[in-house]
Amino acid sequence: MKKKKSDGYQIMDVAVKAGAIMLANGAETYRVEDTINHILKLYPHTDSSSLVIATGIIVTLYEEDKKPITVVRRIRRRNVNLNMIYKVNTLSRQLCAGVITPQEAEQQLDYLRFEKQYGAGLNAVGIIGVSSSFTILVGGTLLDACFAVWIGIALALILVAFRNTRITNFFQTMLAATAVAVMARAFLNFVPFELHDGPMVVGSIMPLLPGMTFTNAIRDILYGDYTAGLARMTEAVLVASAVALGVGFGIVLFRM
Amino acid sequence: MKFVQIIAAFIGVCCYGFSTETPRKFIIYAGIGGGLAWLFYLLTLDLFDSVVFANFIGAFSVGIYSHILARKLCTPVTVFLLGGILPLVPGSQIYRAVYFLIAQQNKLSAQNLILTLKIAGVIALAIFLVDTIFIMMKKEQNLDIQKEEL
Repeated sequence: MKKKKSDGYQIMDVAVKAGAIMLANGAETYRVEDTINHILKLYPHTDSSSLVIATGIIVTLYEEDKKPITVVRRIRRRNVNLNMIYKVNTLSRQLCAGVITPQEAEQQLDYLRFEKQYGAGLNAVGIIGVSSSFTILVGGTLLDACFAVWIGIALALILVAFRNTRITNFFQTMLAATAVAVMARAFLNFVPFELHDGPMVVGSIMPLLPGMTFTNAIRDILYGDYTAGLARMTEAVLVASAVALGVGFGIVLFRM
Repeated sequence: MKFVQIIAAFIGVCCYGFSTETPRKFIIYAGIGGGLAWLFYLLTLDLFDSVVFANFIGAFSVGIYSHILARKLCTPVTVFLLGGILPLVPGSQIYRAVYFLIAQQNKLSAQNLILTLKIAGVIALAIFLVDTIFIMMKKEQNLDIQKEEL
């Protein structure tokens, strides 16, 4: 009897940890709920349910003597890390298929938190690559792309500099967009080549636009998670407005 | 020029993979998704001359591509879908809306804002549609399994 009891707590722990990692790294709400429910089913003969919203997780598991265990986990910081989602997804599949035990799963989840696939340098290279190649995609010339590389470098530096500050997400995005617009305008005015500022700005704001949030919002709404879907849709609109506001601010700033 | 754009979409989405920490072995697939989205976008734009419809077809094709790959490789769909729709995100329309707003050309600004909303809506519709198609297929598979169990 006593052994069973600790089992319930352990499975609960694994489920909540897995869910928290997925939610904090940008998984859809229904996927987080799905994963938690699948893991909880490992504890036999009980009723369990989970409620996941965009900012937190609530899970309840009934033990055999009908005593409920409830865990609430608030998720504060969210970013996009597809590797984490993929890893936790694979882990939960293995766990449910019985390939690994809950103990092993918990160890691996703890270890996963410190895993970084590419490092800050390659992340920055990614942002620079997005800026320059999307400049070409939206109709810029090769020369525009060469100058967009510099905007990309600045953008990556700004994003890294803001990472550990307490500036809100809205202002981070806005300031980054402002910097992009100002730099594009400066290149246009001070560089003696024929440049186009439109493609440079559009290409460089691509990494800032809320593609992930928007897609997740749509899919959450489709699966009936209206609360999470609306919250994410609001976030997407807010971030897009921040980008627009920042670009506008940058243009105005350069006019004065 | 169009070929260059498709290559640019491929490279751009691959690079986006670095900043979103896409698993190493899937980065190339995500990039191909981006190239595919832009290829279908350009083809449809040539045939029907409608930006909104071209975005729909682009998002639809990359949605199907992502779902099929996700099934095959046992991965969350997001891994491919997120990068794949990136070339279609209406960044240039947002920029023009703001640009014309500041240039005090309100009519052009409003036009671009509406176009932004249309494109975003159409991408949403495409994702809705593809998801629904694949949910239906999944349900059928589950029913089969249930029948076997019975």
